[in-house]
Amino acid sequence: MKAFLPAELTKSLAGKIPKEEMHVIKWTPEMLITMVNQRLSVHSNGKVHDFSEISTSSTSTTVTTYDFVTAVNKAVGILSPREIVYVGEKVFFTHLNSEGPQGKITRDDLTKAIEEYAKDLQRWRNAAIDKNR
Amino acid sequence: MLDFKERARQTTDWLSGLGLTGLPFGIGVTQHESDQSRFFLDTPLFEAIQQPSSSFVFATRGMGKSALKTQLMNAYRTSPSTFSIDYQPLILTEHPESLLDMKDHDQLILKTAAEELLVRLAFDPRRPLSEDIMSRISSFVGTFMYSPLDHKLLALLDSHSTLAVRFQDGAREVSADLPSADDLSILIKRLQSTKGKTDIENVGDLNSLLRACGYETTYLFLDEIDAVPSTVRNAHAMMQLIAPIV
Repeated sequence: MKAFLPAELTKSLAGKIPKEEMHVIKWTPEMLITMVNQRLSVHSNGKVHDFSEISTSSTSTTVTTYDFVTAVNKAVGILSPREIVYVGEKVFFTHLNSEGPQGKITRDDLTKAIEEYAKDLQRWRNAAIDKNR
Repeated sequence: MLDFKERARQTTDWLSGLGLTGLPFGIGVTQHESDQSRFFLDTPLFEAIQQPSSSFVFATRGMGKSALKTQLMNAYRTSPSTFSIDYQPLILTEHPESLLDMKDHDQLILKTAAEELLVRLAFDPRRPLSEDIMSRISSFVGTFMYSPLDHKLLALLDSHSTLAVRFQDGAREVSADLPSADDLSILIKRLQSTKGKTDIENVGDLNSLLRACGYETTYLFLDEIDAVPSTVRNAHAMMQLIAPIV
């Protein structure tokens, strides 16, 4: 059997199945950086290898993949590939909304995208609370 | 005001100017990426769960369980002697809110396995099938939804018996891995002669059928057990659901 189970079951199944068959998916910042760079590379046919290459070149406004992943991890609180992908999309839309389809990604785009993400998170939490009432 | 098409063209041009062929992020983007293997990150965990033993992978939502499962299933699909059953009980059952017992699990596993077996046999490069046989398999798949499970299994076994006989009689490409007509007819007789058989025994017969078809190893992939509101974040309900099979 190859079972893919929610983390809530880790405790319930501990002791019922051999330890060596139990695995937990854990991400490190380095793995997430590699994931982001891999996505950029695939979606550019190998031309882009780091966020900084699509970001402004000024040192005060440029965003490297390291900056991006670190900022998202800090805002989200956990190392999650899904949240990285979600905020990554927001960075592009934030730029399009403020600058239109021109120029490169800036640190300001990232800051605004994370603020938007925090608002979304609050909305989801409120919706979940309402649903449980 | 720019129309939608013009806006889309400008956005595409902008992305192209950045060196990109499209948006590299977005939940919608990731779900529609045709070749997910290009985005998959090979990790020590992936190596570990490829070992020929049971693996129980735990993770919170959004950590990449589904991507890992898809990648593992794809890896096994390239192995001609490995068969995978993608078992998502709450997605497959018509009554996801009522928790499943062992009998329900067996029925669903048999159904899922039989469907997958048909697909594998139809596209298995070791068994080049004629158009006539392909059309028989297609029509068989088409009737899958409307007949009781035991009839489906019998028809499945019968169909493969015919396939085996045809290949052994006439085709030079017959692979040594093909089930012999004798093997299959024994399996069919066993199913036909024991009407009151339990589902557990049927699962055993399915295993025999898979081995007879050249699949030495079978993996049951269990996933999506928190797919309905009654099991989301409810460890007790999820344990009740999987206890009969884990």
